[in-house]
Amino acid sequence: MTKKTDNNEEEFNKLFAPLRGLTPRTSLLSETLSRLPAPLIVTASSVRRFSYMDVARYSGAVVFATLILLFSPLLYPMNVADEVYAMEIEAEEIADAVEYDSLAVELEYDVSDLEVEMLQLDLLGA
Amino acid sequence: MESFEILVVRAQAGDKEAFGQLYSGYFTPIYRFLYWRTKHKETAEDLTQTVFLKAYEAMSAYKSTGAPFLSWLYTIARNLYLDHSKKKKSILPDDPEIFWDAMAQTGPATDKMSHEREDREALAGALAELTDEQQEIVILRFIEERSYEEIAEITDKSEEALRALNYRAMKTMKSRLKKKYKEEL
Repeated sequence: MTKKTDNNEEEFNKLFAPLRGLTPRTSLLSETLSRLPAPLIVTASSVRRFSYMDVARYSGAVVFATLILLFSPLLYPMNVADEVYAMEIEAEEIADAVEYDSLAVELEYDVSDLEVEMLQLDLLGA
Repeated sequence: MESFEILVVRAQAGDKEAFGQLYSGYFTPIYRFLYWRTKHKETAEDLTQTVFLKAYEAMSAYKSTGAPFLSWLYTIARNLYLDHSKKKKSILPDDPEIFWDAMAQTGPATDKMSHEREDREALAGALAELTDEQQEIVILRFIEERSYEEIAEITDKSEEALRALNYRAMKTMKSRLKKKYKEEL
């Protein structure tokens, strides 16, 4: 039966040969091409998908920034005791400067007006 | 001409020129398949354009899996035809004059050509009397000259089933054409 079927197929192949001569009109291909949409800017390969790595990176950056802020000394104002201590040191430095005749230079230090005035008074008194 | 793979990559990136080169070789078989399925010139043209527009849109998703590229196009064409036939069952085939004018003919009409045309009409008539499934296998097998393996891929049927279907189709056609072609078959 297989051989007969094959023979039949050969005969049918010949029989149908004239029907293979059909071709589309020549302009159909160009018409089809002109109907194509503009190239897709967002293609499947360029679409960013949800990624756990991206989430991890973003979270890490946020945590790092938060820690930087939390431990930043700028965030904490100096307490009163520290300020007094700093003033005492500055006063000592100025006193030393007076002792070595360099008051004019030392007075350029950025200390509060009050302190300077007090020191000047002290010096004058001395 | 660039290699098939390069053209596919370029077409996938939205390159129309590459798409044109890629499909110019496949345009005629797809049109011919749809023409013989619909037997209506305008419908075949519309469906062919739709096949290629759909293929263009789906290019980025197309992955060369070793299957023939043409089979992928036939599958799109087949699905479109099935959708179309479900929606528009009442469509009438072309008038025989229009139908056969679509065939390439050169030179003045002769008696021989007239006989050939009669033969083709008889053949097309016998084809049209087959069931839809049988028409599909006969068109793919004898007009499109596809292998059973390719047809199985396109139609999602087993090769054995297709062979049996084709055998029955040939038997039916043969009996219908017996009168006219008894000296040939």
